[in-house]
Amino acid sequence: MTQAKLKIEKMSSLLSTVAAQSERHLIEAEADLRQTTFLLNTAIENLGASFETIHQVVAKQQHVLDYLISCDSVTEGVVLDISLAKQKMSEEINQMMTDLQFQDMTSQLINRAINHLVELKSLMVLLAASSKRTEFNSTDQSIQELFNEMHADICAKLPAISDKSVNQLSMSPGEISLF
Amino acid sequence: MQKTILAVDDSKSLRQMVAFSLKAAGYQVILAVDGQDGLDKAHQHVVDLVLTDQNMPVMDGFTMIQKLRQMDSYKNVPILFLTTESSDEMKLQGKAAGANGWLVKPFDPERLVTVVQKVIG
Repeated sequence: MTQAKLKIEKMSSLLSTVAAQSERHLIEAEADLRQTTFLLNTAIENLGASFETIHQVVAKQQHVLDYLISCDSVTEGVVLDISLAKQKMSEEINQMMTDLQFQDMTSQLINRAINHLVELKSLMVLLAASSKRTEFNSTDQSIQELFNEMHADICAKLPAISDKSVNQLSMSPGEISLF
Repeated sequence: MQKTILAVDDSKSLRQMVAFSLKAAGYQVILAVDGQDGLDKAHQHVVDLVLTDQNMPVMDGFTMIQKLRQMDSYKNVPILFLTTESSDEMKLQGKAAGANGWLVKPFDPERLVTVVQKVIG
């Protein structure tokens, strides 16, 4: 076996090992992200349900207070306090509903990360398969042709990276445009 | 008479937030989980406004709007996007598809209601 062929076979073995190890890590990373998505979805569903329940209870309490106010059962000071509390509650509910939308955005970002991992896994599988090719002789031209073919195979299968749809860096409400 | 809004989004939490905000303001809300479901619900109901996400499985918002605008009953119904997308390019695409407005998530419930009231009363 020539020196060149020996070196190439060692490199093939190295590529194969790197590809296999990388694929294992990517599989784990993908599983972790999917689990994160599941937990986030569950948490937000529970939060949403609790929020609606609290809101209903608070609304009922407010009805009672409004009734008491209408019966002149409370002093002006208390009426003012109730009014301020009602306003504050409304502001906080508004803010909470804006913040609860974080799950939609983080879910999109996580799914995008998962898609990248899936593509990387495919690339590692392709790399491993390419590294096992042995149909070449030890001439420089043959080796160069082999590398060119491997490179072309990999580039042909590289997917385009999709544009990111979530660019928000804060939970400030987004802008509104009417055409 | 109570106005009806069709809200289309593949995120369950978003649908809940939109429904909560608009129902509290006195609107009837019909929910759909993607563009195809939105189209199906649009055929089944008479709505006064469509509020839709863009990036959805099965059928995206742009495609759904284009198909809605081909229906006689939806030629003039206001359609607003509610989406994470914020680029001018996407907004132009939305306008070209037939949308009347573009709201970027996260939405403020009070501002959402104000816009809806401005559009359909």
